[in-house]
Amino acid sequence: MGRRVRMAAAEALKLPRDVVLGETLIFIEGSRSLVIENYRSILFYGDDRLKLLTKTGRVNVEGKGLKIEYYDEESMKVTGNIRRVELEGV
Amino acid sequence: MMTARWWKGYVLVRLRGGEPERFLNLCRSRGIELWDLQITEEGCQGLMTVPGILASRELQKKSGIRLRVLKRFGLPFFLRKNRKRKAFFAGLAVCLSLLYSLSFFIWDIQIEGNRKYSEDTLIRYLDGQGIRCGMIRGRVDCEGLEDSLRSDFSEITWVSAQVSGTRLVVKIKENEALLEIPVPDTEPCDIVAEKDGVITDMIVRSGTPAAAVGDRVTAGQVLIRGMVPVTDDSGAVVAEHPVRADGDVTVRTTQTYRREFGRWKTVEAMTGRVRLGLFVRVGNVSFRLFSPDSGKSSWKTSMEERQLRLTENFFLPVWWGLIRSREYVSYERLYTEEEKERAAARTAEEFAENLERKGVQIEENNARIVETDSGFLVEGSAVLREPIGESRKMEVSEIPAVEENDRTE
Repeated sequence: MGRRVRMAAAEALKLPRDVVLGETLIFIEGSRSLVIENYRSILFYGDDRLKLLTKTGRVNVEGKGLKIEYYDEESMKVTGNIRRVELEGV
Repeated sequence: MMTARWWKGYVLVRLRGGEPERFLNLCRSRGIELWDLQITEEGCQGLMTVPGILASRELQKKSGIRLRVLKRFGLPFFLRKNRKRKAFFAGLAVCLSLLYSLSFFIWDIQIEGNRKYSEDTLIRYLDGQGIRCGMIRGRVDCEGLEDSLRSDFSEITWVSAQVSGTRLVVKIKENEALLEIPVPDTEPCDIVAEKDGVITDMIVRSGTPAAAVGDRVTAGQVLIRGMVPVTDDSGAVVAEHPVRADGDVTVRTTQTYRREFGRWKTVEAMTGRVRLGLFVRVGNVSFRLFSPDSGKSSWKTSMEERQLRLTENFFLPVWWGLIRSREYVSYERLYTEEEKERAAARTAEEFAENLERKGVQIEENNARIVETDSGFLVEGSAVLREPIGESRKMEVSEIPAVEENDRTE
């Protein structure tokens, strides 16, 4: 099933887009922690930068002392001093 | 989560060389756990489980990573590190087996719901039945105990005995209703005064009043007669019916009281010094640890005993408590004027309290202080309003033998 069909279906049936389309969800709690769901892989991990690949693009997290508290198939929790979250479309 | 990891053991590792991101992604897809990742100057480091490290060998090769273990946590590593401390493990084993064997006995008996029978009575009864602290748990026959409690204590209507942990809980319910209905006495009688006084109130429910409000009565005088006259049309008494006299009579009386006090008052003054001690009892053996006593002084000691328990129902045969001793100095001195007045007031108050409990009303209560050779005296007098009247059986000769047909003539 093509992406456009699924998009139309999600639109018409009012289905959650993160489930149907696998879109990324990001929860930010102040500047101390961030939880990201539906990501594909880690592209780069450094003390001040974390780059993740998602289905539709990339997510860049910038900050200081970034720690990955946990990460698994579904989600990842990042703590530290988060300064900037950037979404890059493909 | 953390405790589960602790049981199995986990390590702090550093990822060196190669592509750490690739290693992380591979671990994720294989379901190998890595957590608390952070970047240090030497590279990326994080926590891994021991099976995780073993399973990631192939992934390490693929991503060109070498793992270096920095620190070990958890039970398996703890045991390995301390494997030469035989005495420690022996002590641990002895302790655990001791606890285990202690759990086969009853160490606490709790009784709930008793009101008429004191806990002491019931505990002593249980002791007589062979149920006491220290007995083997399996030997408690709960059903037998319930039966015997019900049959030996007539007022207990419901019993539940239950062993939970090392504690025996006996719940009882006592009979709250009366076992038999009291039969009212219907024999004819008079009501007589049992003390002197002036009548202030009088209500007669049955019988004939023999005194009126305002009369001074003396002890033994009839207040209400248990005879009801039957008169004919002319007012002449033709017959008398004996009844049980009933009514309320209140009289005003005056009562005096006195209390002697010595000249000297003993005062116990706290010096503020406190000694603390610890008390431990294991079975029937007890120890006291006390800070040393200096000199011959007097102490007031209080202690609270508590039973040691592991969980709510796992009691151990160990009792402990804190002992608190406070030093005091006692000396005698003269009563001050203020203290004398307070003593007088308290004497009057105590006198009133005792009477009020009996349902007596107090109209006036005065106390005064009289100095004597040996000290002082509190003298008081009070005007009381109290209910009087007691039943007294009528003598047989008092009841006239009236024939029933006399009236019809």
